[in-house]
Amino acid sequence: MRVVVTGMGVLSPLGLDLDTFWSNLLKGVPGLKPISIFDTSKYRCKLAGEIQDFDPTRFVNKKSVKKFDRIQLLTIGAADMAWENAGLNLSPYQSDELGIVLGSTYGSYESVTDFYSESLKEGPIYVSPIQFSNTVINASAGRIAIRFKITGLCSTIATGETSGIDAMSYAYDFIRAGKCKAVMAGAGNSFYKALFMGFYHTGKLSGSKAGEKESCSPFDSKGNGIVLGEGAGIIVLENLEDAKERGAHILAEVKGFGSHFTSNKVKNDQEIIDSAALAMRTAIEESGMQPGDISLISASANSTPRTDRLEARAIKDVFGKETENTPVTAIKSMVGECLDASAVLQAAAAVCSTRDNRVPPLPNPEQPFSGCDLNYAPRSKNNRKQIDAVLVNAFSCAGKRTSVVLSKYR
Amino acid sequence: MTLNIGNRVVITGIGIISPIGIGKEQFWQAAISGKCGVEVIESFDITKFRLNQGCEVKDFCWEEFAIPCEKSQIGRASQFTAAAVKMSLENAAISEKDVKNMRLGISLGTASGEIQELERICHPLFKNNQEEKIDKMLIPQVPSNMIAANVARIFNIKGPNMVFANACAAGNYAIGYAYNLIRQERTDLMIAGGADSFSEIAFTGFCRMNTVAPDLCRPFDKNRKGIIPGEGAGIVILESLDSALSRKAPIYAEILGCGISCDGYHTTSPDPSGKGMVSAMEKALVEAGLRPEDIDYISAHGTGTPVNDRIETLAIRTLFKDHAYKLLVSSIKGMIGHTMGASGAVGAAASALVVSRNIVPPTINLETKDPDCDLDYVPNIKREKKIDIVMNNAFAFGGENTSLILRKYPDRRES
Repeated sequence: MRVVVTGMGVLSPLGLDLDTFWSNLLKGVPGLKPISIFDTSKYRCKLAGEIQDFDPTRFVNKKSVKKFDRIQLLTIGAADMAWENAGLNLSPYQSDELGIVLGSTYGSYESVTDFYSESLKEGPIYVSPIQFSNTVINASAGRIAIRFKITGLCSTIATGETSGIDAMSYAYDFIRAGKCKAVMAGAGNSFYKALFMGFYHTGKLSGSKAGEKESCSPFDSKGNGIVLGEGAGIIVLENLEDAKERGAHILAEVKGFGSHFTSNKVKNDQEIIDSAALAMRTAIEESGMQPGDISLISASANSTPRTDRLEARAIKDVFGKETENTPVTAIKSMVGECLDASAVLQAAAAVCSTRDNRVPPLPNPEQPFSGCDLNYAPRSKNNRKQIDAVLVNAFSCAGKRTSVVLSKYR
Repeated sequence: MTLNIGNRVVITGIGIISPIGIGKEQFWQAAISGKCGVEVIESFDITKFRLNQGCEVKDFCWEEFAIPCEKSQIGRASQFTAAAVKMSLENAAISEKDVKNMRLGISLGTASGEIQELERICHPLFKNNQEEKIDKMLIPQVPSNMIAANVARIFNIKGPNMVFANACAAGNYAIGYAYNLIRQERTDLMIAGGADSFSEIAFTGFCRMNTVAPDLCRPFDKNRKGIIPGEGAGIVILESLDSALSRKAPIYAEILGCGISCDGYHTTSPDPSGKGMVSAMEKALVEAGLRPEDIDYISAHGTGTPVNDRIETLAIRTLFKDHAYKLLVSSIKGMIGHTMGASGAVGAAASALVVSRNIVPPTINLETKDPDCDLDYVPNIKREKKIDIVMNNAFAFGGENTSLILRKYPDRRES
């Protein structure tokens, strides 16, 4: 049974809908800007990929804006746009044939920390029960199920940076098992101060060490850490036969997934390279393809020196002499590390690449890691290329690695 | 490529950390003797709350498990999980060498992840308006994916690594996912279950929602006042029947189906018609190829809240009709409290023991009959009866419903 993409919705630092996100990605517009939601004068890090002009009343009424937290508003916004883009409002499907699967690992902690802070300061008998319902990790998925009367499946996957495409993978399995006809899958991430502080103190943010310049430079030896971003992406996956029957517009096909775990705490680089290579190889094999069939690689690289270097080596390992023919892009250079949402934004961009035959540029690393001479997608006016299939990598900082192949629908 | 649904899936190992007992046998003896795990909460300063009863795991000693990881490196939910995983692997007679040579993965459910770590880190800061001093351990330890990541690192598990954050039904989702992977021959063995640690934040929230009972959790009793929050972990080892037979592993039960549905009704209350719950139970029966009359026992979600127990009963009556009055129903939450993301998994582990041993654990604290709850809930005293097929329910915030079906494995070899 084949599974296709029939709709997408995106909110990102590069734009408040899919088209703006995509055209800014192609232009190489930087989405990372000085942080606006709190004063950064005390900190060395000052950049983030915020969605600065998001107006939730586009999607929900004012009462709901007060009640829902930001992660819920962002995911509802993306889901609304995906739902409409896929024409699901006009679809013949029963509620029981529809599903929603979200990735959410870091999302609800904004509500959790707010709720806890208020409870400690004001006393536990004064906090709001509605705010408590926002602290539950699956709150966003539940709200979306209610909004669209989805009763077939509602699930939330918390696997970190891979969760967006792990959600797609779960949805894909569900559709292929004949349990749902269409499933909205994706993830959201909101940028908030407690998250920033948590990352800041780990030293994982770019520029957090004295004397370092703050930048997001994947695959570049001057990369010194991540810049956080926020965003939400929802992708509608659908059983091909049902999609054709209802006359849905088919954007791309989901071909196959691969996943592997090796903790990043492992000292031996080769084990991590092997793990990444295995995830990619499995996805390509499950798709019935060879590395040479892949037209573009959307890397997980996020400007963390070690993991970027090891991803580059794993790509060379899998692609061998095809490496020079296969461009590599890394959109986190423009949107930042959007955690749960990163992978689904990459997947949305990959679908657009297969549709338009265009490649989002990765500004050529000034000083690429030695031995990591990949074919970095150059910034040029003519970033056209026949794109038949895109390999998307999502690697979590804990050590889970998931890859997916998305292709043109033929 | 078409989906292969060739493999039969069996449970060959069990590991449990619960407020009434650590380890499968301790838990089971306590459960069938109706032990109540409710005590005054010690995890945090309880004096500022109006209520003070909880089901904490009080005698958990990390060092006893001799797991090669410093206690301070991982949160309490990860500790529970790692300990339960170790016990379940031993129980299934899976050696370190087997772990290396088999295709295996881990699938876990949790409601709040390492929330106790977050509380530990944030408590002193928030009280003193020092939010900007958040500990450097927050990000590496607290996110829910760290439970599976920690366990995979410790036990060297390289395969599928999933974490379901489906609130109180998460454990069932995780087991259902693992079951499907093995059924479809995508892996040979899965470590599956759920875990949660006792949380001040959750306790605060449930108290504010008026869903916490002042003294005891009394599932299906007329005077039930709500849940007693708990903590723990439940892990089951799932593997293909062929694999289990070839290595002569003990077999507790076979998994026949997993039904999933969503109410799409309200974020914190179940649909009053019970439609969503009926749908999950019905889908599980269809997948298992069974009729309602085939079910001998339902391990109920039975939280002890006025609304859950009434609607769950209604849903059982709706689906099972007359047979609802013939089958047995019980909830272990009167004994172990609501262990959140672990509850579905502990329920599944208990269900496997029920079919294996033909004893049904009682619903304790059930004194007064409620006309809305009129089934045979095995009140207060265990029931010895031949039980072949069990349904294990877990429902959650967000209207998320799951039912698993387990069957006795005819020539069981549980030792």
